Amino acid sequence: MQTDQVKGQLDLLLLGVLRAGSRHGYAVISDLRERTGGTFDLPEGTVYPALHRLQDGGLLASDWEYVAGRRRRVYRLTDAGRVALVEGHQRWRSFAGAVDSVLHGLTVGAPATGAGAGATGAVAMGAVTMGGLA
Amino acid sequence: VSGSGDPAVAGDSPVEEYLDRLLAAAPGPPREVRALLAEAEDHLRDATAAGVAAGLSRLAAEHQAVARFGPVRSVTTAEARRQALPVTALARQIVASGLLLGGVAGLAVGVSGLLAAVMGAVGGSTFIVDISRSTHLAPADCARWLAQDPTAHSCYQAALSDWTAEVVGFRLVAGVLGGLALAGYFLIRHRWTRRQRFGTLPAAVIDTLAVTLFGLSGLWTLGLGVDWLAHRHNGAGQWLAAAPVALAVAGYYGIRVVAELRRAPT
Repeated sequence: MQTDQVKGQLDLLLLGVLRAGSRHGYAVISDLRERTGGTFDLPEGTVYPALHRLQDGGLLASDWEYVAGRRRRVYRLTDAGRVALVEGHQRWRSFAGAVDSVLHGLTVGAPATGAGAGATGAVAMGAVTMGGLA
Repeated sequence: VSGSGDPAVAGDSPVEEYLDRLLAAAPGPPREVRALLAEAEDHLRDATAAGVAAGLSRLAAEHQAVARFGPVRSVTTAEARRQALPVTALARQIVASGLLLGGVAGLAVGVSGLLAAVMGAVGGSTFIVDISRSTHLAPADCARWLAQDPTAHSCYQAALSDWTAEVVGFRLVAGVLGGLALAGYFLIRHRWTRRQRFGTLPAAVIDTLAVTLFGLSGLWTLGLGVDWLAHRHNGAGQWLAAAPVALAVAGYYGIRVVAELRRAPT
């Protein structure tokens, strides 16, 4: 379940990680894993096509560097990427706030059934993601 | 680099085996494949080094790095999906490219209208339009044209004035529409870029289309202008006002095509 949630917000998460500065793929993924408290559990190799897609869309740019005899691609946010990040963050806050307003009063960790259990998970995921972008 | 002492490059190295399988299965043009492979190798080497630093044996660290990277199929499927061009994306590219080319064409027609106005002012209306003296001009039209141009001394002069104004006016309208098309192009580029949806047809396609479109238009109008100058004497200006603008735009795109051909790998 959490993997699907991460996939749904992967672009936003990647933009959020790169907001702090340029990074190569391994550093992006490591940072993402640390900042999401280990929630990120996608196959790491599938992040690269996502980075390439963001670059195709003009939200990221990249440069090749040589480190220890290896070619290394370093990604950075473009101006369009910063705009997309701000807008995506606002959309996410609006969505998470709407979900939270419906679930207000529920105690996380208490026995939950049906849709409530899934929705509680979504709020928990929202907290993790917000932390990653804040 | 070779040698059985370095498990990172040995035949039984999980990382090497993984990279071999990724190379064989990776989709796309060679440059994209090489880029993906270089990134995957860089990632797997870093992950292996981190595992070794954490106390794992090199072999165990490589196994862990490969496992975390995910199956080759999941990576290549995601990459192929990225490279695929959906119909909607193609439609967006055609719309964006059409607005760009249409806008440039409209502006070119508008500039030719300005040029026609200058030519008409210098060479007279008969340089822009050709109305035979024997042409029957309806009295009702004459009345309307004379009302629009009180300085005209005859229906013929008023007709020349009206037709010239039409030649210039319609082209200026086309220029305004071209400007609007370009504004639309920049608007959707701004909006679609933010949504990661912006794209145009490849530059080589657009530039080749432009060279063909404007080049043929320029040659055609130039031919008509020269022909009218030689055989009809009047009205050649309407064509000669369009030809240099079209040929100038064709020349600009031609330079771009040549530059692209020089950049293209041989």
